Amino acid sequence: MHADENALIEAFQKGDEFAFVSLYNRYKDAVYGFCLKMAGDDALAQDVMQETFLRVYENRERLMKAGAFKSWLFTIARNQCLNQLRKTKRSVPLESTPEPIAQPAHTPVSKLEKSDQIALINHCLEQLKPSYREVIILREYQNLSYKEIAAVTRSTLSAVKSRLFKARRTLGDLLEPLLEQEEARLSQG
Amino acid sequence: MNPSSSFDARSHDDAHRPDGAPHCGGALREALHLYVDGELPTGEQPALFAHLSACAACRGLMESILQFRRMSRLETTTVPPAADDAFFQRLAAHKERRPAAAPAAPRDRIGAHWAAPMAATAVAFLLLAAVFNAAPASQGSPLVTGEEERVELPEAPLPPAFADGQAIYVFYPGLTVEASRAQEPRPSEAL
Repeated sequence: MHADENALIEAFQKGDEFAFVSLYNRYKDAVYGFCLKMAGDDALAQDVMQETFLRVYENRERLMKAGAFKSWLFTIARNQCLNQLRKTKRSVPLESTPEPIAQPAHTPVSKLEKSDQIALINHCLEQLKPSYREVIILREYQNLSYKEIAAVTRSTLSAVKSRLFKARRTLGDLLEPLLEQEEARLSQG
Repeated sequence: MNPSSSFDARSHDDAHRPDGAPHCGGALREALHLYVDGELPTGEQPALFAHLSACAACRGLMESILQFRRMSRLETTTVPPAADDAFFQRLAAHKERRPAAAPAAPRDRIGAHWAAPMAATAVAFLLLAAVFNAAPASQGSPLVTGEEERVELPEAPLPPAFADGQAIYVFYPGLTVEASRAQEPRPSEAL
């Protein structure tokens, strides 16, 4: 975290409204992206993002260290998301049978359109249970360190590693048929 | 299953490698994950690189992790402008509902769960004061009124923070107590 960001966070804690708006503008997309991946619903993600920042604003004095702002922010966002998931029961259990992945037949992953690749991995993400999905999102999309992920998910480093590796294994199993298609195409070419 | 195209190289986790390459067990696999996540200490990287140079399956595993990463980062999510507007409207409404919220005050270490007992204690104190004052009040000489009362207290050890002060003020609703250290206690009041 940059020094200027620490100064911004400290100013926010002292009641500087402009600092809060700056932090909002800096992190809103990341929080929204996290919520969107977790909730899988745009309207819900917008609502949770707004609620997250309202809670940040309201509870600013609870943040003890400016350096922990990002973890604290995502902790709030994560709790809001999990609450919403419990309410709406949108989460898909890991044991459920994955739905067929919609993609053009016989098209290798690398040749898919950008939007199709995005849709493909989003579909795979939706198949993960929330505890796996959140570590993948925090690591791959939000670029959080293991330590930060542990703080956000209130778990240990070893638990984060374990869940991340298992989540990747599951993702690999979901993506494997598509990757095999690509290898087959390359071997034929 | 093609091990080189999976995120987890379970199929090459056998105890004996037919090609004589170093065995890639759980520790090496973990090191691989740590490396792609930037969490592997520098001192442990050469061993991983040596293994990767000899193990195509682990190279495939690493490539598949990075491929997912590349795909995941194709997507950029941006908050719609309408959501920004809605947020600031909610924030304004929130501020209107709670205008007295102190923005920069350090957090009171007394938890919210102590607030009710403390309030009850204060109320009990005031009720007790009212009971004790009932008799004098009936005699037309109320001890506690809505105005300030002055009470002289005997000399007592005080924390250093008060050593240089001239008075202690204790505030309750309708009651102020001032104890001046400037005045010497009367002999009859000395402890």
